[in-house]
Amino acid sequence: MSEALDQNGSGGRIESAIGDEVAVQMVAVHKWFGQFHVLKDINLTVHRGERIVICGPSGSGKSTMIRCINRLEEHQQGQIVVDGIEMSHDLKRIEEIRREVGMVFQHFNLFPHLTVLENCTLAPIWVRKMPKREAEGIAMEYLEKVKIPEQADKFPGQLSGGQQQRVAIARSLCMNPRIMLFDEPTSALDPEMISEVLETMVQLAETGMTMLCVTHEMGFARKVANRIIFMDRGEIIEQNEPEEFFNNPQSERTKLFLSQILSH
Amino acid sequence: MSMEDQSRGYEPGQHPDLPPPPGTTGPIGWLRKNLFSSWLNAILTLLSIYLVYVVVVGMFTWSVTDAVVSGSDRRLCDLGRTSASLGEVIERVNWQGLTSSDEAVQKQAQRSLNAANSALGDLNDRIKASEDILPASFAAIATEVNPQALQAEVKAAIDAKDYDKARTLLNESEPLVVWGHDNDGACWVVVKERINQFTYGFYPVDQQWRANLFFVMLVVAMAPILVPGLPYRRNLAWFTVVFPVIAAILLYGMPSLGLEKVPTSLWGGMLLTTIIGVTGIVGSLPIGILLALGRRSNLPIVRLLSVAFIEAIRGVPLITILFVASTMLPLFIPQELNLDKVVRALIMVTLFASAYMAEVIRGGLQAIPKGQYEAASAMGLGFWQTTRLVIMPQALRITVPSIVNTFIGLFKDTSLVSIIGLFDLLLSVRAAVRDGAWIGFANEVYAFAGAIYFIFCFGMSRYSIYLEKKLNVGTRRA
Repeated sequence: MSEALDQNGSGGRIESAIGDEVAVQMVAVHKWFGQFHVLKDINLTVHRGERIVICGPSGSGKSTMIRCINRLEEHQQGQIVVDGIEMSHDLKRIEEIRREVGMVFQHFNLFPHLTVLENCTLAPIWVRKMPKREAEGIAMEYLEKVKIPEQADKFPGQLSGGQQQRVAIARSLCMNPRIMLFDEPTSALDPEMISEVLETMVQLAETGMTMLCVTHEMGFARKVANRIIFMDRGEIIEQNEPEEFFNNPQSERTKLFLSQILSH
Repeated sequence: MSMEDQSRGYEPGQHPDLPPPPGTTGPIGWLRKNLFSSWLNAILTLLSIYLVYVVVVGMFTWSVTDAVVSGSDRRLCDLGRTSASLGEVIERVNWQGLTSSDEAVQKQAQRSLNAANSALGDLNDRIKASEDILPASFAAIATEVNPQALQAEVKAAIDAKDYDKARTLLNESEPLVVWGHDNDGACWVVVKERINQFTYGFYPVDQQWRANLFFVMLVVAMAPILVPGLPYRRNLAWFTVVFPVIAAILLYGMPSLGLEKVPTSLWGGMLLTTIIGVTGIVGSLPIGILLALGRRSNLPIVRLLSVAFIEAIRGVPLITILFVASTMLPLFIPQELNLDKVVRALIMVTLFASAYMAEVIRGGLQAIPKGQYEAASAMGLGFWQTTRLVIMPQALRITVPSIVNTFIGLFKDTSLVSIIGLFDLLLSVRAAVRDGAWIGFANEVYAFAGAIYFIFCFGMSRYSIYLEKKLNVGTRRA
């Protein structure tokens, strides 16, 4: 994978300034699915501009954790503060948070009944109350950034998987979010299409966006992440800078995981 | 390199696109594949073609070629049928039996001969009764054959036991029978005479322009809903919104506007059927959507009420609901609150259809992947925005065939209001059947009513197909 990245990306690691401002803070967060304890005492602080990659075996709670950040999943214990807003049951507050947090899904979740452009303008028009013209202007800008402006009038079903995922990224960016969540954005893609999506994500990282990515693309992690978080069975086992994480993993569980994921 | 590799004769990647084997594509290929793939298939195909041919020809002959449309009463129709039946009676005469030595056989044969003679007499009566409206084609034959004289001659021959002569004479009536066979089809005169009642019920004749205006306005009001590319669609939609009120005032009347009151008991025919059908269709969709959302709601009370309503309505036949509304409800509610009978039927039909609609739409909602809700929520869309902008458009699109199916069922079910005494199309037709003046023409009026229902339902069906095609453009599942 790193080869693909090197071809497309700008080469070396991306460095950027990380502010002191806290973008996401999770304190002693617990979550259960029925009897099943999915998240156990999650403590995580993400600073503005940080790019975090979350990895771990399936069922380890990675997706659930980032889905708690925009309340697609409800946590039952602990405190989550996003962009200075504390998460609560208050719908107003949840929607306020969601306006600031963009999300990209494994299965794109584009709206199949709307064109690419309409997908991108829907939320700005209805949530941000932006005039249609302006929203379309912004949408075209982002579609150009993800390199598919010519597909604006097509329907999602007419695009390839990689193109759809790039539209999904553009769609999130149209809301001008301060934080972006990626939930295995390349897992449903053919190998040929992964690189185009990763390239888009690298570009985004270069703009200084705060990003939390659940992914198994270790090449991407090595290149983009400031910090890699390894989760297993609902716990954060280890977190470190990429170099340290790959070259000098601390826990046995991490070592085993890395040996499996990097062996081929 | 193996044998197969050499036999290709092409370098890898150089293989050209070859045409498919002959006879497997195009119309011939289609016929071969679908209609004549085997002997059994071929026989079934031919048999089916024959059956369709027989049915179509039969229907066409009855309803068009042999049909009677002129005149304003049943006399011509009767004339045609009597002439045709004369032929049948003559054919039934047992000529051999007349000279039989067996007395019983002879008696029976004589009876059959007398029947033929009296059938000729019946025909003469019919001719006399229709003298003023006899069509030229018949008059010419009548002058030539002169059935009046013929009957007397036959009678004389029978009395003289000259059966050969009687036979020759009876056969002279052949042209009459032939004419009869060309005029014994559908008697559309009854429909022509009754069309006013079939259309308006008992709506006063001098006020029927109001009903006509209603029909025209109905078309205008439906246009912006049905035709997506219509110019001035938005402006017209406003008319659609206020149309129900306008229609109610127009049809029911408002003396202050100079429209005299026409009580709903006078409404009937296609007018009433259309009102009930359209109200049910237009009302059941939004109520059904709300019920479907209610049934999937996280709020227990809302969910419980929706489920209770849907299951209660679905568990009872529409007739029962209509009966309850028309006969029992007045016992429970105070006189002043007593709703008009038609209004009660409208409400009940609409509620009944909504329960079914709710289940249809719920099916559509369940087909929407969870990711769609999540994506919408993640962007900050609220519940109603998500429902209106993301979920419903997709759910409704999936369920177009089922929704239209429910609409069609509802439209046909409107005929049940005749059971509580509303004079809808079906009841107005049945009134014609029971009218002494038109006894024996049930086929015609029922065929007419059937055709009207068919036109409406088939129209809806075609529209649904059009809609599906339009909505499916480029919207494969993402």
